[in-house]
Amino acid sequence: MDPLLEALRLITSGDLYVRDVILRSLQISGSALLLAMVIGLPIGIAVGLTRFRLRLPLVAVINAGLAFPPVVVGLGVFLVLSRAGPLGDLQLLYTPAAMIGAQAILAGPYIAAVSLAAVENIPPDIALQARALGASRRQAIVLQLREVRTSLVAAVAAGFGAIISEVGAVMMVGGNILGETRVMTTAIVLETRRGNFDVAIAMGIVLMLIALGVNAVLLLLGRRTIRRGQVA
Amino acid sequence: MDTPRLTFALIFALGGGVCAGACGTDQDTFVLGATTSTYDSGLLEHLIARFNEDQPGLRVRTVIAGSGEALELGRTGDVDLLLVHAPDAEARFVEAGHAPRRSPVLANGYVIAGPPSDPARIRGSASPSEAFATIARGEHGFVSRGDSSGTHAREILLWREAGAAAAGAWYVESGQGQATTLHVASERGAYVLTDDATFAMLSETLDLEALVEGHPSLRNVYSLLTPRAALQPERAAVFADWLRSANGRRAIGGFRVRDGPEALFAPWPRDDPAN
Repeated sequence: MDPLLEALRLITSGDLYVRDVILRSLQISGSALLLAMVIGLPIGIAVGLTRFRLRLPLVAVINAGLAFPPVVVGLGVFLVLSRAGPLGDLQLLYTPAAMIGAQAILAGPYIAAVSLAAVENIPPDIALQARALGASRRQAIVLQLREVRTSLVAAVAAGFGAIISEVGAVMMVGGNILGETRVMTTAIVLETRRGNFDVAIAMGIVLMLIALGVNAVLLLLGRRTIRRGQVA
Repeated sequence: MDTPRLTFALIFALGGGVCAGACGTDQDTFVLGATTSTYDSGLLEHLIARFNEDQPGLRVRTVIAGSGEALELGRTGDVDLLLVHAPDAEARFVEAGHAPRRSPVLANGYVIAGPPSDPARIRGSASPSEAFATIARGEHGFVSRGDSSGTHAREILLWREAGAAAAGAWYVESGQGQATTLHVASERGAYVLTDDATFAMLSETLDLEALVEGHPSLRNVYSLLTPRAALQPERAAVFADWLRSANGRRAIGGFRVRDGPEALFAPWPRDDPAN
């Protein structure tokens, strides 16, 4: 049977293995994203809105995070979580937690760097005007963030797109264990290796759809921003 | 709802459902470090399914690595049981005190495969080393695993036996698992050393034929080792004992690749007095 047709059948019939792997991918990358947001957004916003000594080196470090090669992050997390490593006693290697950690390390600096850039570009007179009109410091910050909320969402969406399609780091720290740490990308590698092209294609199609979905969200947000810009 | 708020809601929904399925495993588990050849062929999934019919309470978490990497994971205690096929490396592992012993448990065969046209004419060679010598002399393409796996170790041994130097433009290393290496050899029309189970599993998608097989020096024996650093040696022992039991031996011999006719793995040693 044609592998492509068989792949479509696997998706539409809700094949248990394919569905399980897809759900696990969304769970793991979803929680990694949550973690990365909780850490990345406040750091990006705080550094973007404030001015202090040694700020420039900090910005450089955050921006360097944009260029973390995933396999190197995977190797680092592997060595730290391995029994021989400093956190070996936690027994986290080959668990979803290890994958979530690695993906958060990849997405965190990404979200921080993009949100930092967005916040930095807010015209300073917005805050000044707000304060002049009697807004509290907190209200002024909220107002500034409202200005860039589309960019913040775009940062998060792009972070999600990057980690759900990543394979090197999750393979190393997750181990591709069936029913636990096997996600779409590692399953595609395995099933291609095994010659099960139908299963690999099915997961590939779903992964593509997710990537396209993320891109569509980004595109929609971009259009909104342009429209708002014209009105202002 | 406007788009940003909807997106945030979606992201939180994705993140929220996490620990429902992924995190909590109250079941007893242990980690088995096994080689690509046992996993890619489907043997391990078959054995674990049979094992769980007898022992439903113990979950086997399988991590796949070449024999060299698997032994390293055993040394550090990241896996509780090893199923590997690199006799020399295993012996060194035991000698260094990382495991009390190695126990052979199953066997299959290596195959020298190559393009159906067989440009080096190794089909029907008297021995694998003779075939290797012929390939090297004619500088015919050869794809090596190059990954310190058990198959790679055997390949190096065969080159040594052949008295041939595995070097030159004709000799490439894939650095990957057995299946990927077979695909590379197939695409390049090159010769390759493989285990017969993975070869049988993929033969339909490969433009390669088994040319030399069945020779004693192509025997591939897999052993179990319980590293001293293992965290769950008792649980690992439950699985190891089952593999050596009558049921385990029957499960090994009963495995078929893609419902094919031939048994590709045999319990080892063949005449275990316990059975």
